[in-house]
Formats: sequence, structure tokens, C-alpha cells
Amino acid sequence: MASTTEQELVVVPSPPRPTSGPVVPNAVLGTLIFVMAEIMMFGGFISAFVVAGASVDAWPPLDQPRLPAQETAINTLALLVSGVVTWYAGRRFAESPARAVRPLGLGIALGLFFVVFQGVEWVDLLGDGLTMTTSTHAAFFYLIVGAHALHAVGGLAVLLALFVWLRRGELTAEVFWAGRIYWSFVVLLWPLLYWQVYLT
Amino acid sequence: MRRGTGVGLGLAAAVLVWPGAADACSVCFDATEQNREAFIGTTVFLTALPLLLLGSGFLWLRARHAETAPPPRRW
Repeated sequence: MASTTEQELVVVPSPPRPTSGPVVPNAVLGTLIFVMAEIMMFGGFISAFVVAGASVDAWPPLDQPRLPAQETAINTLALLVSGVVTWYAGRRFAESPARAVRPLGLGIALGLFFVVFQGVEWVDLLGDGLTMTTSTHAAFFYLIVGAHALHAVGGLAVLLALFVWLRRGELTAEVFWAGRIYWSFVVLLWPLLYWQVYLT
Repeated sequence: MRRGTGVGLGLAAAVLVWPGAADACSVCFDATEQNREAFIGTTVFLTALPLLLLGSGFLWLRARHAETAPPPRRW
């Protein structure tokens, strides 16, 4: 018989604490921060354009070639459809990656149409004598539309890379999401620029 | 004239002159009303835009966190 009381200490392991992944994938967060900075840059461009236009009587100047607003409306529609089908490709990707090939390819083709159409438009305007040094309005036109065209070319390069990775079976949902965010920025920014630069 | 009185008169003169200097600000004064409105409008736009971007980003992240966070531990 034991003279002392022995207490056995029973250690019950606690259940494992549930863990979760990152709230937002790194690729998506990085793209969002980049897009926010780009939005501010274009916000500055548009603000300067509006102030410059408000300080003169005729805007655009009367002796300048008119910007092709109607033709560019078709181009705008092509870019908007490109954004829609590219976003749709993401939904198809969630069902099965193979189903995203066709809509993504269509989105790239429409984006390419937009960029080529813009290039043709620029050649025509340069032929009509509208250059960076023609007037303040012309300089703003080439600055704003040119900056967007550079972003569109960059976005097309991203979409092409996504397409290649998709065909190889190497594309992840996170990277596809990030790429679509960037292309959506390029697409959604354009109607605002079109309204400010071509229609006002 | 006492030194304090001189300083006070100097400050009063400066206060009277300053509003005239403030008129040089393009937002406060311009030859055309259209240009003044453009300055004010773009100032409001560029002030609100980053706040809107950061605010909407924060709200979106918070909503995502609420969706993906594990449920609270119960004892």
C-alpha cells in the first residue's frame, strides 16, 4: 500500500488547429497593386488632358485632323468582347482547363485586332499631319492612347504566355487569375479613354 | 513705437496681404470659370481615386479573409 498519493497526469493532445492558405495568391495581389499604380498614372494623364482642354476656346483645335471616333467605336467593341471572353475562359478553366483554350484564343485574337486597328489608325493620322508636335491636343492624344496601346501589347504578351502554358498543361489557376485581372484593366480602362479623348 | 506693437502691425499687414497671394493658386482663381471648374474637378478626382482604390482593396481583402478563414475554435 502506497503511503503517498500518486496522481497520473494524462496529457490529451489538442486537435490540430485548422489552417488555411493565403487570402489572396501572391500573383493576384502583386498584379492588383501594379494595376492600382497604373490607374493612378492614367488618372493623372486624364486630369492633365481635361485641364488643358478647359483652358482653350476650341478643343480639339479647329485646324487639326478629326480623330476617327466612329471607326474606333468598332475597335472599342472588339476590345470589350475580348475582355468578356477572356473572363469567360477563366470560368471554363475552373470546370476543365481544356475548355478554356477556345475562349482564350478568341480573346487574344480580338485583342490583336484592337492593337493592329490602332496601329493602322495612327498611320492614317500621321499621314494627315497629326504628330506629337502639332498641338497640345495631339501630344496628349499620342501620350494617352500610346500609353494604353503599350499596356495592350503587354497584356497580349501575357495572354499569349498564358495560352502556351494552358496548351502545355502548365497553367495554374492563380496565374490565370492574375493575367485576367491585368487584361480586364486594359479592357475597362479603354472606354474611359475613348470617351475623354475621342468624344469630348 | 514699442517692439511688440511693431511685430503686431507686421503680422496684421502680412495677414492682409496673404489672401491676395492665395488668389494666385490656379484652383482658387482663374481667368475662365471653365478652367477653374476643371482644376477643382480633377483635384477632387485625384484625391478620391487613391482612397477609393485602397478602400475597395481593403474591403475586398477583408471579405476574402472572412470567406477563407477557419471557423473559430470551440472548447
